[in-house]
Amino acid sequence: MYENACEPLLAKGVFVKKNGMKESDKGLVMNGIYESPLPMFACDEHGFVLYQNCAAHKLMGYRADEQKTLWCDVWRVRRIDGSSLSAEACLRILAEVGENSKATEVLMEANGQAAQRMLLISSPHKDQEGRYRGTFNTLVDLSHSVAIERKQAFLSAVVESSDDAIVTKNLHGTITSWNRGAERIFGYQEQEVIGKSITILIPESRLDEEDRILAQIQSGIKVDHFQTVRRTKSGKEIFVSLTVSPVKDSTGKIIGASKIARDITREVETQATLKRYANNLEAINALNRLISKNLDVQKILQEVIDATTRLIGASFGAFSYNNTVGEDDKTNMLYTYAGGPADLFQSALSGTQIVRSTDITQDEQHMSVPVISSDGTVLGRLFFGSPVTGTFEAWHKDVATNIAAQAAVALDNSKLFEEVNRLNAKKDEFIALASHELRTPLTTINGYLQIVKKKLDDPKKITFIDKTLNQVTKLTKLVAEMLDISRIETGKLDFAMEPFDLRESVKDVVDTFRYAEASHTITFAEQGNPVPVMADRMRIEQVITNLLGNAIKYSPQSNRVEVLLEYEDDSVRVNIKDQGIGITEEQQKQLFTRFYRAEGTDKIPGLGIGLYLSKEIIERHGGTVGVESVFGKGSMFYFTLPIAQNK
Amino acid sequence: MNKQVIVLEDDREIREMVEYILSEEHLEVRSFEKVEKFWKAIDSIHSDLFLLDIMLPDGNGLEVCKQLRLQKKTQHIPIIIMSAHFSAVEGECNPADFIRKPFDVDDFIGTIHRIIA
Repeated sequence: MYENACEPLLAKGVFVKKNGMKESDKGLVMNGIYESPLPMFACDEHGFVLYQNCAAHKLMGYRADEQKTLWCDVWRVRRIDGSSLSAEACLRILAEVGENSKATEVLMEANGQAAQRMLLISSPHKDQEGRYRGTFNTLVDLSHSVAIERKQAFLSAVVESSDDAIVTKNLHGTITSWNRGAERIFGYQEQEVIGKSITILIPESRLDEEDRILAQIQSGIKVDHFQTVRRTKSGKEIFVSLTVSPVKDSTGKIIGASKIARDITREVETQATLKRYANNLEAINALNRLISKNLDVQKILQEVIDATTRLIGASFGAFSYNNTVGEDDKTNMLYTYAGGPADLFQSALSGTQIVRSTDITQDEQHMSVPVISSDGTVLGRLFFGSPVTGTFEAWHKDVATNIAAQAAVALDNSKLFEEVNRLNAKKDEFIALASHELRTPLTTINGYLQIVKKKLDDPKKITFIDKTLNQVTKLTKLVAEMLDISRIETGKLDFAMEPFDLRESVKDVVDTFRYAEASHTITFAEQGNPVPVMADRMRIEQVITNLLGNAIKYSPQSNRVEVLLEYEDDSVRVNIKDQGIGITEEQQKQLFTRFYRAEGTDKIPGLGIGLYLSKEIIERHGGTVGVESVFGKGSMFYFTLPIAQNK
Repeated sequence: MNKQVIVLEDDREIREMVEYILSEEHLEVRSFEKVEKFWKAIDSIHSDLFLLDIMLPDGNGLEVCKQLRLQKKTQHIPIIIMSAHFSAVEGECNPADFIRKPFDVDDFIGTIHRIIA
């Protein structure tokens, strides 16, 4: 309601007292009204505009020239709800307003623009008889304040509807406003906190923060996304993110602060959970890496139970494992444990005593996860316990199950590894046994043949015996090679190293061949400096024998084999050249592999082990083996060895 | 008096063949197929050379060798180990020589004469 402090001055006779006013006074008043910054206009009792001042003219945009224009029509006046005024109302409203409230808000369209909100202040004029003669009206442009009002209403709505707590305080820290978000987050109603200190929200340990915040605000610096802890009405402490901004008055002076607090308890918890999950994942991965490298059953069991018990926060854990050993599938139970008292576990898991669950522990919580092999058999069990209720939730079970799966894989691998070792050992046993068994009858065969040969005179018979003896020798050699192969593959071929002259060894082998094989002429330069090497003499001679034997064997059309020895400062090379069938490039690549026999050699007997063995022997002495050959023309096989340096 | 070779070998054929070879070389031979029998007899017979196989049904030739070295009575008597098994001969046995099966008869005879002398 518009408060008009002035009473109707007609009564006082100040307003229009024609007789008391001079003409110049009238002019003063009339001019003043005309030039007043407030729009003013006068209407007669019918509502027709009699007069408008300059400001009214300026505001409304045009003059009401015609006396007969209703004031509402001139300025397209409507009620503030937008409804238009009827002709009658147009007449009446001024009188009513004037009589009753003296002021009302109306909408006026002026200048072809949108309707503006105006405050209409009406002073009715009555004549001496008391008859209503018209009104004198003043207009106040509310559009600016309406805009402000609208803005304020909007801002209010923003503040009220926010989920965040929006609180204002003055520079003493007294709460001056409190929105709905604050009510929800902190639990206090608006009326409970207005006028109280903001420190009611701050836990004791953090009270110094308030001083720091105020100090920063007073120097005009905003506090941005400051993560801290605040206390609600119930005493619960929550994580919040605070943004505090200085509130300034129109002069720019800081008069208080506005605080926006976001409840980040859930974010903090989520982050903590994520971090925990990340740590757990890392621990699980570390455990997996560890057990996947390990093939020792006991170690696997121990690592798994230690890590898992820790990981899921159990106070103790046990891993029982059905250990199947050997071919007869004997099973015994292995177990390892972590965290709990040893004797309780032993009696519980070895099954020698009846143990009640309350003896194991007085706890409420236990969890048991089977460890299942890839073929479905249950390898064992993981068992965990904790005295704290609610320790084991779904994710604990997931973690334990995941680890159990990994443990199963590791245990399967360990088993396979043990099996492979066992089979390897068996194979070696077999080969050793087989070679021994084969050599026994060979001894007798060889011996008696030699004895018989001595008793013969007939050269033909002697030849027969010799041929038979040769075959026995071959057989013996095959058995030896078989044993050697087995030993090489399991890394059990040992060398008896000694210093000797390689030239001499080559000479010995060449001599043996010269004596035995008349078919080929073997050339070898025997003169020359001794070539000292440190090696297993027997094995090196085995290599030379193999290469020389091959040279002869694979050159049936020729009758010549050359043996050459060349050396430089640190290594010696023995070359054995033949003019035999030669070897294609393709064949050369595969030549030194196990059991390989080049095509076209099936008429020539042999197992194909010799070159492979020779390669292994030479390479393990630190030398190299190779061949240069042209198919159809001949081959040159060679090997190198390091020369023994005299230190 | 001829020298006497004591043979410990479980294969009958090899045993007989060795007996034949050695007797052709004018050597006395006493052979045993089991370690137990060997020990029982050894105190009462004269030995100039021991020829021991390694794989025996009731023992190991290398063990026998070690034992012979420990006993005062047999310490000085030379030992030859004869075997198809070319395994590392342990230090404590320390035989005078090693004969690989199958062997060349002449080599065999040569070694025997050399060691027993």
